[in-house]
Amino acid sequence: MSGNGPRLSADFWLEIMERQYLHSYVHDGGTSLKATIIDDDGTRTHVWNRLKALTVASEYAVVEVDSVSTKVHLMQSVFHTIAEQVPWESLAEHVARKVISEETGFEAQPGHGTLAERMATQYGLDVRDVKQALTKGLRSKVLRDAGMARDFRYGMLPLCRDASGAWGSTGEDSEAIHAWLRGEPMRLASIKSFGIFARISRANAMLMLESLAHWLREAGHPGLVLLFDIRRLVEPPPRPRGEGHYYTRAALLDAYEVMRQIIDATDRLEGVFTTVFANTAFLDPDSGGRGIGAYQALNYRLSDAGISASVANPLASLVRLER
Amino acid sequence: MTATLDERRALEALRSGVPSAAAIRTVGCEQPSIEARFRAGLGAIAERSLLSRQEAGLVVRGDFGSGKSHLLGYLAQLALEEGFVCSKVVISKETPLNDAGKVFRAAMEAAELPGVRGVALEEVDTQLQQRKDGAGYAGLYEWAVEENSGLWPGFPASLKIWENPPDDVERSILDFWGGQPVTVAKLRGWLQRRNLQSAFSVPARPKAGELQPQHAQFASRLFQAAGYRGWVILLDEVELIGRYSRLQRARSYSELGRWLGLSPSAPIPGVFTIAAITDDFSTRILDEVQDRELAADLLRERGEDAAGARAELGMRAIDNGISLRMPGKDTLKAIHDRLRDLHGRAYGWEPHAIEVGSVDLTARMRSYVRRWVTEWDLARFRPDEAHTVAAVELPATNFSEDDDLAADSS
Repeated sequence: MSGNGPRLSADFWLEIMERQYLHSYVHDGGTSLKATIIDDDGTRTHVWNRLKALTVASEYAVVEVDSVSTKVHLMQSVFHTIAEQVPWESLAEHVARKVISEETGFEAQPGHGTLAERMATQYGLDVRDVKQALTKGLRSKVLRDAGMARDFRYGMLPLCRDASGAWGSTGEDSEAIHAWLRGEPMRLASIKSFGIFARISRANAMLMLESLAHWLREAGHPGLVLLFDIRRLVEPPPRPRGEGHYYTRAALLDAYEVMRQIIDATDRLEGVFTTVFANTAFLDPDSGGRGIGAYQALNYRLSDAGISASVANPLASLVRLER
Repeated sequence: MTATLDERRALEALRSGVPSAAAIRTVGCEQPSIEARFRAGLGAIAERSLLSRQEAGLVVRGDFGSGKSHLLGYLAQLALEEGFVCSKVVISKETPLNDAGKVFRAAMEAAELPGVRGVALEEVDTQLQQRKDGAGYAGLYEWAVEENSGLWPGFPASLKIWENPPDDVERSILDFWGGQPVTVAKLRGWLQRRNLQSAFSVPARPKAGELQPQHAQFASRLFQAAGYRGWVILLDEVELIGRYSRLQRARSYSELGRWLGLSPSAPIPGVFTIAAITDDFSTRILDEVQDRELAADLLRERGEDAAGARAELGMRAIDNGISLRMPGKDTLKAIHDRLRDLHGRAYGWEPHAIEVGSVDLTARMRSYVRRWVTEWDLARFRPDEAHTVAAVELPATNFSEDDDLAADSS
């Protein structure tokens, strides 16, 4: 695979992504990863900003992961970086509102105060009624939702309770869960009472991402858009070290394995659109190099191995873009 | 899921060459002998388990792009439909075949239950809680406490503790069942908290090499106790072991022999394993690099005679693997037609028929599928531009040794 393959106009590609993916396939729950090869900084910035603008406008949760500031060879680090950008409180509030509406038949209108206070003001509902509705509804809607991993379900419960305001909590529970989701230093004892006994690790980070994607859709978003800059991966660690993370060869292969896992989760992820930003160095086919040739499993999934097309396919897993 | 979403999901997966459930349903499986052997194996598992034996697994061979991963996906769906737990494990840097513990943990993490989404062990925990008084759990417990189960007493002790765990211990028990270590001191402490210390004597934990096979045996029985017919394990991209050192490859062959149930002294009743490997592995590695002559002896020189014997069985299984049948013109035409319908339904249009022509034996199924999908994508989304799409020769499997594949970067 070379950098000399057919190229696409960035704007044409963006138009196709908007129409065929973001406003349809991904919006309906499909998942896709597209790797873009862009050498020009201006073009990359343009594509990044355009994607961000149109996905925010479409109410996707948009997150950015950069291989300079995040250790992208660790799936849990990728998840923690994503978690730092997710609006957990508003998601929980949305789900709590939905649950109360389903249980009581009353829809909380926007206004001042907590959800419980608004239900009292708008419909005369007692805070005990709200608590009862939530307790029952969250059990069936969240706790038994097999579309999310158990620890994730247990983590969303205190967030929903805090968001409702019905328990008059100080927010400590939410803080503990946020710290757990973001991989911040914390004592495990602070989340044990929720039934969570382990930090998010390599073993369950992918499940957490699948759960988050599901949760976002439950909370009214069409899905998650992940803008993933991997350009740092192809740079061998310099001496002396520059800023940010550099990747040993072993870490490079691990990072490519993370990408492979995301691609292979096509069936399990709901409404996730990942755009990987790379440059021509990523196309190096040499198995001893630092490009895609270094990791056969990823190479076979992204490259155009086995076919030769005279014109670039805008729906291909890997596209070369120019302005 | 809408019909169109399912179809687009299938196409998206086909563009990446990733087998998805939707793609597999559309393309089907054109490997009748492998499918028949697989179905026969599924049918024999229960009987074998009763005799504490393991149904012998099989190795499937095919070049890159010949449809091995697609076949494994198809077999996974069959297994789930038949009520089996199924784990698809891709041999990778993170999951080296020579490390029994990592492969087991990967299989547990990847385990899928029929009709249930979520972490398999957590869901089985919930299901077993509801069946604690049933025959399935009773049978599991009786087997675990038997002296000739061969299990370290920590396993039955953990079962007893699980029945009524002290606060926060249940998760630790599940972690242990999932392959994480647990100390003897912890187990004894939990037993004490439930006044069970006199009922169970927990000796020192065996070494990892002895304990890991017991984990697989226990997990298999656990799944059966929860009502599943058995555990199907699908190992993909096994050819990656060709890039290990010879000693790592020797251990990999030994582990392959064990997972495939080829060693009568170390069966995992209830488990049925299928491994996929490239067709050229036997020639390039077993012959040219002389693993067939030298690998097993490397283990014997270290006093690991049993592992050496299993390594020979593992290599023989690779040699005797069933090769994927190359599709004939009729098969290619049938798959082409199915994919053409799929593309049409996904995008609401009528794709043109692409002449299959003479079958190119050097081209792989993946090349055909990607070529067709690319042609239709271009016709649909770039109709005004003339283009050509052709199948080209695929790169050979890379078997050069790579130490970084074994290195842990975390």
